[in-house]
Amino acid sequence: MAVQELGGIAEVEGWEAPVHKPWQVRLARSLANFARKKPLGFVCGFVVIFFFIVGDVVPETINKASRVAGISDRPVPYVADQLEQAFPWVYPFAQQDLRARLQGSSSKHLLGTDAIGRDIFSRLLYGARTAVMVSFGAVLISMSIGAAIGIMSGFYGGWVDKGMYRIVDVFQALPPLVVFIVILGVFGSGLWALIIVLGVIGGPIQSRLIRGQTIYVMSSPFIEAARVVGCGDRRIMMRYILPNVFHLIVLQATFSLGFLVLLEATLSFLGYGLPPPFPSWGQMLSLDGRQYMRTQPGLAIYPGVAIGILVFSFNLFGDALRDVLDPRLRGSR
Amino acid sequence: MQKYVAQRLLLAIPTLFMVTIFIFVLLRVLLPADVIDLIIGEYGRNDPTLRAALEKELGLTGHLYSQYFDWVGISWFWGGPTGLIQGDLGESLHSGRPVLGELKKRVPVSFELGIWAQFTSIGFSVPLGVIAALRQDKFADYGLRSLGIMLAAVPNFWIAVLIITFGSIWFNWAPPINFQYLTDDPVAHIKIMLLPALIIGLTPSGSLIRLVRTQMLEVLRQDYIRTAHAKGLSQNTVLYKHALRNALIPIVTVIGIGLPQIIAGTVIFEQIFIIPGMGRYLVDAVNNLDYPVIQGLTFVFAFLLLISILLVDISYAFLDPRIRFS
Repeated sequence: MAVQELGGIAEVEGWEAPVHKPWQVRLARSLANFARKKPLGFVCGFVVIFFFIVGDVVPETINKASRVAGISDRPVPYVADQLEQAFPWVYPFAQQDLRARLQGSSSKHLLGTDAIGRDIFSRLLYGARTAVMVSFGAVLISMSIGAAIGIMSGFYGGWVDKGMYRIVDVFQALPPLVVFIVILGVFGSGLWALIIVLGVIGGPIQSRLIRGQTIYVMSSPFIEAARVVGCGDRRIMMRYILPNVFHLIVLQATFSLGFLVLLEATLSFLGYGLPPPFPSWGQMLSLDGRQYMRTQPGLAIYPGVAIGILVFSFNLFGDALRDVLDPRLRGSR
Repeated sequence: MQKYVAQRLLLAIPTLFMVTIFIFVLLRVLLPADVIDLIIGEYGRNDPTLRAALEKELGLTGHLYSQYFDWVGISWFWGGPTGLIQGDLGESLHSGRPVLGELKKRVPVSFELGIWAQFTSIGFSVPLGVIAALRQDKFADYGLRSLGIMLAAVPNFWIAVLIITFGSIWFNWAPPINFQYLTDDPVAHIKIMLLPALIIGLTPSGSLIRLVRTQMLEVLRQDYIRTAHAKGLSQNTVLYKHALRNALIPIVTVIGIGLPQIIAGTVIFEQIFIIPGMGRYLVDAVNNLDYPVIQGLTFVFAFLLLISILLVDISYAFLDPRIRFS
């Protein structure tokens, strides 16, 4: 009653409206909080960001998009190219020095050279682009598909749900590596082919958890309230369900990132990755390179270490993120 | 229970049909012309009669749906050629041999490899997970958890490459090249299969160690464990009869989830260790664009995976009554 008399504005004595700090401050606070709670995950987050930058994800995507759209603007410069100019020990990935084949580490070639005199360190650096581009791109596609299927089948239920689930079952019955080998081997491979194929084929399977969470969210009273207010299906899905399953999407994405790096490495190892001059970690370990590993064991070691570090960082970062984001675990510490 | 099994089996049939449609759309609707061109390119001359003959041989003449019916073998019922339903997977373009005959030799090899890998991953991760749970937050626990994370992060083919490289450098050892079948020479056969099976099993066991640990910890907190202790049962009885049994139930599902990983492992390791299994057949077929083989094999892979998932689910229902009655 008192509230009505005040014209609908609740003024309680001793209560102050919360002062909203600028977003920079809030971001810095939550980051500091994350770092304090999960130091290792925080460090791994930095490793991920490092590979993200070295892997030139943003320039490559923008350049590709502008090429597809036919905008012939100046291309965005690559970080790797800048590194080449700034540091004497970073070379273009295809530059051969046939006089310096299969060398060990030196000040000129940090990790030595491969069988046709290409610098291993530089190739690892450029290989990061393949690994990070493929994993991020494919995750983006597969999570969009997974979220769409999961939310729709959880929202509509009934025969929509059943129908979509038959499709998801089909994708679950197809062994991924076999399908990837068939598609990439028959259609031909490339950076964007890898991204699209891994993303699209991996998408439907991602929907399982999201569907479950959607069904759970659907039973909340605020969905009913939204209905009463007169929201349409699309608005409910986008504005009410999506934000409530989003933490799950992010978590699944971070876990699939590591998996996709391994998958890309595997496909490249078997010869279904990028075509030869372009470096990829899996390809550097591949069957052709194995004959030289006796003379230069670095060829067998470094690319595997690089894969391990990236996947390890993705996984630990995902673990830490889960502990921070999961509402059930949030209050436990 | 019988109803559950029957239901699952019935549901598998439409899924299999959808798989055939998927493969058909992928390999025939999306690219038949390219394949013919590529094969003709290998012959080195563009001959219209050859093209027509190839199209006929590949079953690329006629309507798409009749092609599909021919491949699956539905048209057999009104006098068409035999297809998947009749167990006819087609013939290889290169060798001309039926795919099914080739698979009879190859499926057991891959299957054996997969089974050994599965045993390795379970035999490796269950004891380690239990140890980690019993020494919770002690040094052994941290060590084993780190090991689990490492194993999941490192590609298994890299471990194989390292073993082969350093085995040859330090011990002058290399994996045997000539494959021996189990029936011909069991000892040589096991020597060949042992290493790949061990390494394939490592990757799934990375996450399995951590899962066994959390499951075990959760079960150890349950009331019935306290009751068992209070009854005066020995530590070992409580651990192995009461705790471990219950902790292992959810792990069955994870074995099901890990199956694609195991299949992927067999495909990779058949390449590295030159084992004549299904994976090697697939890679050879893809590289030769041996198109009927690719189709047939993809279907067989999917079929085997579906059956395995089904078995895992059914055994899970068998172990956990809550699933059966829901």
